[in-house]
Amino acid sequence: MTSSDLAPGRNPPRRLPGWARLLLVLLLGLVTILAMGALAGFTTAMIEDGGAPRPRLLLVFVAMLLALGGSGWLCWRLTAPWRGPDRSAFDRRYVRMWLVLVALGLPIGLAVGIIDHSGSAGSVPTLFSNEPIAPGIAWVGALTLLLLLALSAVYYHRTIDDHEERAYLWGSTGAFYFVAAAMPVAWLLARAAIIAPVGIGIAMMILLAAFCVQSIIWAWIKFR
Amino acid sequence: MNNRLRVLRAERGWSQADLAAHLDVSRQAVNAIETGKYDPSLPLAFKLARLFDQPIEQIFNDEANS
Repeated sequence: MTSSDLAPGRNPPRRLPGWARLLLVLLLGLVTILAMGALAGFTTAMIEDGGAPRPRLLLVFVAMLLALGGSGWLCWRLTAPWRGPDRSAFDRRYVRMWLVLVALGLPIGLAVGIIDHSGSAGSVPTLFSNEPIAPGIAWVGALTLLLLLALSAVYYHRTIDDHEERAYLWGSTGAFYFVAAAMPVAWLLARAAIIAPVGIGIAMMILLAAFCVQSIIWAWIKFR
Repeated sequence: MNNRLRVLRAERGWSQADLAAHLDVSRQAVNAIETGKYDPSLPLAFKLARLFDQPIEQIFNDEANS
């Protein structure tokens, strides 16, 4: 048996490894969110301006539309290997699971992130708005989040394989250690007035950083 | 832990994707097992043993005892 017999020769050649593909898709997702935010901002500015379209603003508007279209097209190309006709039953289940989770999570996440019912005239919804909201909306948002998170977790863990479960567990362990270290450190520094008092804003930032830690470790173990 | 997965797979002319499809796992899982970065769970090890019709200890080799 030669070494070429041992090589995974029948695996389709891929110019980009899986982790790079995933990273690019995530970056394009950020570009999409930023472009959508910019489009919303420019549209608001145009409306506040009395609807008169200014050439420079229109150019930026078109550029953002092109950025959105380009991101979508690149995402479609980058995810082509995950949508091929010769995919295994596992791959089909796995991709379907991610599509369902993104299709449910992204709109709900964005909606929760931008809800702003302060009632102030002319208030413009912004991502990660921290404006007061009505109790009814808060309850609906909180319960939707809890329900969706529980269902997503069950769906995700029933779909993934042993290897990804391991990656997920180590990622979560890393994220837990990050929170366990960051929260008391922030609390101590705040007591000495070295940083601002630890409010919900800093706590949410630490949570966001913990998600990043979890994702990095997960991706490293899964795709290394 | 060493294993003969790559050899057994090549003997059958299977790609990593083919073996992953037989085991109902991702290709990354097969690659991680083959390169020794991940030791499979007991159920997956038994699945491999059944697939290649060999005892587990003939597929996996504990370095400490070799």
